[in-house]
Amino acid sequence: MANSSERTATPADRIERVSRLMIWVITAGGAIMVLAYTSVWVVPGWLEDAAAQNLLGATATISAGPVLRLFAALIAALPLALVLYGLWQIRELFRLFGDRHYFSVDGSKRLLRFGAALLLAAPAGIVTRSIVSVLLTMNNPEGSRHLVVQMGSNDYFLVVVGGLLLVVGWVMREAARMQHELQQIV
Amino acid sequence: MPIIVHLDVMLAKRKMRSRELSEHIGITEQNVSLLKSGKVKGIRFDTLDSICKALDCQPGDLLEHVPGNEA
Repeated sequence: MANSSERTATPADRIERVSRLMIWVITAGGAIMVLAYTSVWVVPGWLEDAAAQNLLGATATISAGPVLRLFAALIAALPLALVLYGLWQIRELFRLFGDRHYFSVDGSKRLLRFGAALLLAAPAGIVTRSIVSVLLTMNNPEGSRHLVVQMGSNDYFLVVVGGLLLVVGWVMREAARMQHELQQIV
Repeated sequence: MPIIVHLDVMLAKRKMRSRELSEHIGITEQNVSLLKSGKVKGIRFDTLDSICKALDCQPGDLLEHVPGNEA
Protein backbone atom coordinates (compact mmCIF):
# COMPACT_ATOMS: atom_id res chain seq x y z
CA MET A 1 0.00 0.00 0.00
CA ALA A 2 1.31 3.43 -0.90
CA ASN A 3 2.49 5.64 1.90
CA SER A 4 -0.15 8.34 2.40
CA SER A 5 2.57 10.95 3.00
CA GLU A 6 3.97 10.32 -0.50
CA ARG A 7 2.60 12.92 -2.89
CA THR A 8 1.67 11.76 -6.36
CA ALA A 9 3.81 13.51 -8.99
CA THR A 10 1.74 16.10 -10.83
CA PRO A 11 2.31 17.00 -14.52
CA ALA A 12 4.02 20.18 -13.24
CA ASP A 13 6.45 18.05 -11.18
CA ARG A 14 7.23 15.97 -14.25
CA ILE A 15 7.80 19.06 -16.40
CA GLU A 16 10.12 20.49 -13.75
CA ARG A 17 12.10 17.24 -13.38
CA VAL A 18 12.56 16.66 -17.12
CA SER A 19 13.37 20.34 -17.73
CA ARG A 20 16.12 20.30 -15.10
CA LEU A 21 17.53 17.14 -16.70
CA MET A 22 17.37 18.68 -20.17
CA ILE A 23 19.39 21.71 -19.00
CA TRP A 24 22.25 19.32 -18.21
CA VAL A 25 21.77 17.33 -21.43
CA ILE A 26 21.92 20.52 -23.52
CA THR A 27 24.91 21.92 -21.63
CA ALA A 28 26.81 18.65 -22.02
CA GLY A 29 25.77 18.32 -25.69
CA GLY A 30 26.94 21.84 -26.49
CA ALA A 31 30.30 21.24 -24.80
CA ILE A 32 30.77 17.95 -26.68
CA MET A 33 29.94 19.66 -29.99
CA VAL A 34 32.54 22.38 -29.41
CA LEU A 35 35.12 19.80 -28.31
CA ALA A 36 34.46 17.55 -31.33
CA TYR A 37 34.55 20.48 -33.75
CA THR A 38 37.83 21.82 -32.31
CA SER A 39 39.38 18.34 -32.34
CA VAL A 40 38.61 17.89 -36.05
CA TRP A 41 40.59 21.03 -36.87
CA VAL A 42 43.38 20.66 -34.31
CA VAL A 43 44.18 16.95 -34.03
CA PRO A 44 46.45 15.88 -36.96
CA GLY A 45 44.71 13.58 -39.43
CA TRP A 46 41.17 14.12 -38.08
CA LEU A 47 40.30 16.79 -40.67
CA GLU A 48 41.42 14.50 -43.51
CA ASP A 49 39.34 11.63 -42.10
CA ALA A 50 36.27 13.82 -41.53
CA ALA A 51 36.55 15.39 -45.00
CA ALA A 52 36.99 11.99 -46.65
CA GLN A 53 33.92 10.59 -44.90
CA ASN A 54 31.57 13.57 -45.05
CA LEU A 55 32.66 16.07 -47.69
CA LEU A 56 35.26 15.30 -50.32
CA GLY A 57 35.23 11.54 -50.64
CA ALA A 58 37.92 8.96 -49.86
CA THR A 59 40.18 9.73 -52.83
CA ALA A 60 40.51 13.47 -52.30
CA THR A 61 43.55 15.05 -50.71
CA ILE A 62 43.79 18.26 -48.69
CA SER A 63 46.72 20.49 -49.54
CA ALA A 64 45.57 23.63 -47.71
CA GLY A 65 48.12 25.29 -45.44
CA PRO A 66 47.52 26.54 -41.89
CA VAL A 67 46.06 29.91 -42.99
CA LEU A 68 43.55 28.36 -45.38
CA ARG A 69 42.65 25.75 -42.75
CA LEU A 70 42.06 28.52 -40.22
CA PHE A 71 39.78 30.35 -42.68
CA ALA A 72 37.93 27.11 -43.42
CA ALA A 73 37.57 26.40 -39.69
CA LEU A 74 36.11 29.86 -39.06
CA ILE A 75 33.64 29.54 -41.94
CA ALA A 76 32.65 26.00 -40.98
CA ALA A 77 31.98 27.26 -37.45
CA LEU A 78 29.01 29.36 -38.64
CA PRO A 79 26.38 26.58 -38.68
CA LEU A 80 27.78 25.29 -35.37
CA ALA A 81 27.50 28.78 -33.88
CA LEU A 82 23.87 28.93 -35.02
CA VAL A 83 23.11 25.55 -33.46
CA LEU A 84 24.89 26.54 -30.21
CA TYR A 85 22.92 29.79 -30.13
CA GLY A 86 19.72 27.77 -30.61
CA LEU A 87 20.74 25.33 -27.90
CA TRP A 88 21.40 28.21 -25.49
CA GLN A 89 17.91 29.56 -26.19
CA ILE A 90 16.31 26.17 -25.61
CA ARG A 91 18.37 25.73 -22.41
CA GLU A 92 16.93 29.00 -21.12
CA LEU A 93 13.45 27.84 -22.17
CA PHE A 94 13.89 24.65 -20.11
CA ARG A 95 15.05 26.82 -17.19
CA LEU A 96 11.75 28.76 -17.44
CA PHE A 97 9.78 25.48 -17.60
CA GLY A 98 11.78 24.22 -14.61
CA ASP A 99 10.71 27.33 -12.70
CA ARG A 100 7.11 26.54 -13.75
CA HIS A 101 6.73 29.51 -16.08
CA TYR A 102 4.99 27.79 -18.99
CA PHE A 103 3.41 30.54 -21.05
CA SER A 104 5.65 33.58 -20.89
CA VAL A 105 6.63 36.16 -23.48
CA ASP A 106 10.28 35.35 -22.74
CA GLY A 107 9.64 31.63 -23.32
CA SER A 108 7.99 32.25 -26.68
CA LYS A 109 10.92 34.48 -27.71
CA ARG A 110 13.38 31.70 -26.81
CA LEU A 111 11.44 29.16 -28.87
CA LEU A 112 11.22 31.57 -31.83
CA ARG A 113 14.98 32.17 -31.71
CA PHE A 114 15.66 28.40 -31.55
CA GLY A 115 13.41 27.81 -34.55
CA ALA A 116 15.05 30.64 -36.49
CA ALA A 117 18.53 29.31 -35.64
CA LEU A 118 17.62 25.83 -36.94
CA LEU A 119 16.05 27.30 -40.08
CA LEU A 120 19.20 29.32 -40.79
CA ALA A 121 21.55 26.45 -39.89
CA ALA A 122 20.36 24.42 -42.90
CA PRO A 123 21.24 26.92 -45.69
CA ALA A 124 24.31 28.03 -43.71
CA GLY A 125 25.49 24.40 -43.66
CA ILE A 126 25.00 23.99 -47.41
CA VAL A 127 26.87 27.22 -48.25
CA THR A 128 29.71 26.73 -45.76
CA ARG A 129 30.32 23.13 -46.87
CA SER A 130 30.78 24.40 -50.43
CA ILE A 131 33.17 27.19 -49.33
CA VAL A 132 35.14 24.83 -47.08
CA SER A 133 35.50 22.28 -49.90
CA VAL A 134 36.99 25.01 -52.13
CA LEU A 135 39.32 26.35 -49.42
CA LEU A 136 40.65 22.92 -48.45
CA THR A 137 41.42 21.88 -52.03
CA MET A 138 42.32 25.17 -53.72
CA ASN A 139 46.07 24.40 -53.51
CA ASN A 140 45.55 20.96 -55.06
CA PRO A 141 46.80 20.40 -58.62
CA GLU A 142 44.34 21.18 -61.39
CA GLY A 143 41.76 18.47 -61.79
CA SER A 144 41.71 17.54 -58.13
CA ARG A 145 40.17 20.72 -56.77
CA HIS A 146 36.66 20.39 -55.41
CA LEU A 147 33.50 22.43 -55.19
CA VAL A 148 31.04 20.38 -53.21
CA VAL A 149 27.35 21.23 -53.22
CA GLN A 150 25.82 18.91 -50.70
CA MET A 151 22.28 18.83 -49.41
CA GLY A 152 21.06 15.95 -47.31
CA SER A 153 17.99 14.82 -45.41
CA ASN A 154 19.47 16.42 -42.25
CA ASP A 155 19.22 19.85 -43.89
CA TYR A 156 15.63 19.12 -44.89
CA PHE A 157 14.70 18.05 -41.36
CA LEU A 158 16.41 21.15 -39.90
CA VAL A 159 14.15 23.30 -42.10
CA VAL A 160 11.03 21.31 -41.17
CA VAL A 161 11.77 21.28 -37.41
CA GLY A 162 12.92 24.92 -37.49
CA GLY A 163 9.69 25.96 -39.24
CA LEU A 164 7.62 23.93 -36.79
CA LEU A 165 9.33 25.52 -33.78
CA LEU A 166 8.89 28.98 -35.26
CA VAL A 167 5.13 28.39 -35.54
CA VAL A 168 4.96 26.81 -32.06
CA GLY A 169 6.80 29.91 -30.78
CA TRP A 170 4.10 32.15 -32.27
CA VAL A 171 1.40 29.90 -30.78
CA MET A 172 3.16 30.11 -27.41
CA ARG A 173 3.27 33.92 -27.65
CA GLU A 174 -0.49 33.86 -28.23
CA ALA A 175 -0.92 31.50 -25.26
CA ALA A 176 1.14 33.87 -23.07
CA ARG A 177 -1.12 36.75 -24.11
CA MET A 178 -4.24 34.68 -23.30
CA GLN A 179 -2.85 33.61 -19.94
CA HIS A 180 -2.06 37.25 -19.08
CA GLU A 181 -5.65 38.15 -19.97
CA LEU A 182 -7.02 35.25 -17.87
CA GLN A 183 -5.00 36.48 -14.90
CA GLN A 184 -6.95 39.74 -15.11
CA ILE A 185 -10.26 37.94 -14.74
CA VAL A 186 -11.28 37.23 -11.12
CA MET B 1 -13.86 51.14 -18.94
CA PRO B 2 -17.60 51.85 -19.25
CA ILE B 3 -18.36 49.24 -16.54
CA ILE B 4 -18.15 50.70 -13.03
CA VAL B 5 -17.82 48.32 -10.08
CA HIS B 6 -19.68 49.38 -6.94
CA LEU B 7 -18.29 46.66 -4.72
CA ASP B 8 -16.87 49.17 -2.24
CA VAL B 9 -20.34 50.76 -1.89
CA MET B 10 -21.99 47.38 -1.28
CA LEU B 11 -19.31 46.39 1.23
CA ALA B 12 -19.92 49.65 3.11
CA LYS B 13 -23.71 49.10 3.02
CA ARG B 14 -23.30 45.59 4.43
CA LYS B 15 -20.57 46.76 6.86
CA MET B 16 -18.29 44.01 5.59
CA ARG B 17 -14.53 44.22 5.20
CA SER B 18 -12.68 43.10 2.06
CA ARG B 19 -10.89 40.37 4.00
CA GLU B 20 -14.19 38.99 5.27
CA LEU B 21 -15.61 38.94 1.74
CA SER B 22 -12.50 37.27 0.35
CA GLU B 23 -12.81 34.53 2.99
CA HIS B 24 -16.53 34.10 2.14
CA ILE B 25 -16.06 33.78 -1.61
CA GLY B 26 -12.69 32.05 -1.68
CA ILE B 27 -10.62 34.52 -3.71
CA THR B 28 -7.59 36.44 -2.49
CA GLU B 29 -7.92 39.80 -0.76
CA GLN B 30 -5.67 41.20 -3.49
CA ASN B 31 -8.20 40.13 -6.15
CA VAL B 32 -11.06 41.65 -4.14
CA SER B 33 -9.04 44.87 -3.98
CA LEU B 34 -8.45 44.78 -7.77
CA LEU B 35 -12.16 44.16 -8.31
CA LYS B 36 -13.08 47.07 -6.02
CA SER B 37 -10.83 49.41 -7.96
CA GLY B 38 -12.12 48.12 -11.31
CA LYS B 39 -8.61 47.10 -12.38
CA VAL B 40 -9.74 43.76 -13.82
CA LYS B 41 -10.67 42.74 -17.35
CA GLY B 42 -13.54 40.52 -16.28
CA ILE B 43 -15.41 38.72 -13.55
CA ARG B 44 -16.42 35.06 -13.64
CA PHE B 45 -20.10 34.22 -13.18
CA ASP B 46 -19.29 31.98 -10.21
CA THR B 47 -17.33 34.82 -8.53
CA LEU B 48 -20.28 37.15 -9.16
CA ASP B 49 -22.65 34.49 -7.78
CA SER B 50 -20.51 34.12 -4.62
CA ILE B 51 -20.34 37.90 -4.09
CA CYS B 52 -24.09 38.27 -4.57
CA LYS B 53 -24.69 35.49 -2.03
CA ALA B 54 -22.21 36.95 0.47
CA LEU B 55 -23.57 40.52 0.16
CA ASP B 56 -27.20 39.52 -0.43
CA CYS B 57 -27.47 41.65 -3.55
CA GLN B 58 -28.03 41.50 -7.29
CA PRO B 59 -25.36 41.83 -10.04
CA GLY B 60 -26.94 45.18 -10.93
CA ASP B 61 -26.12 46.45 -7.44
CA LEU B 62 -22.44 45.75 -8.11
CA LEU B 63 -22.01 46.73 -11.75
CA GLU B 64 -23.09 49.79 -13.68
CA HIS B 65 -22.65 50.60 -17.35
CA VAL B 66 -21.69 54.23 -17.96
CA PRO B 67 -21.72 54.98 -21.71
CA GLY B 68 -18.81 57.03 -22.94
CA ASN B 69 -16.59 56.27 -19.92
CA GLU B 70 -13.74 54.75 -21.93
CA ALA B 71 -10.82 55.80 -19.67
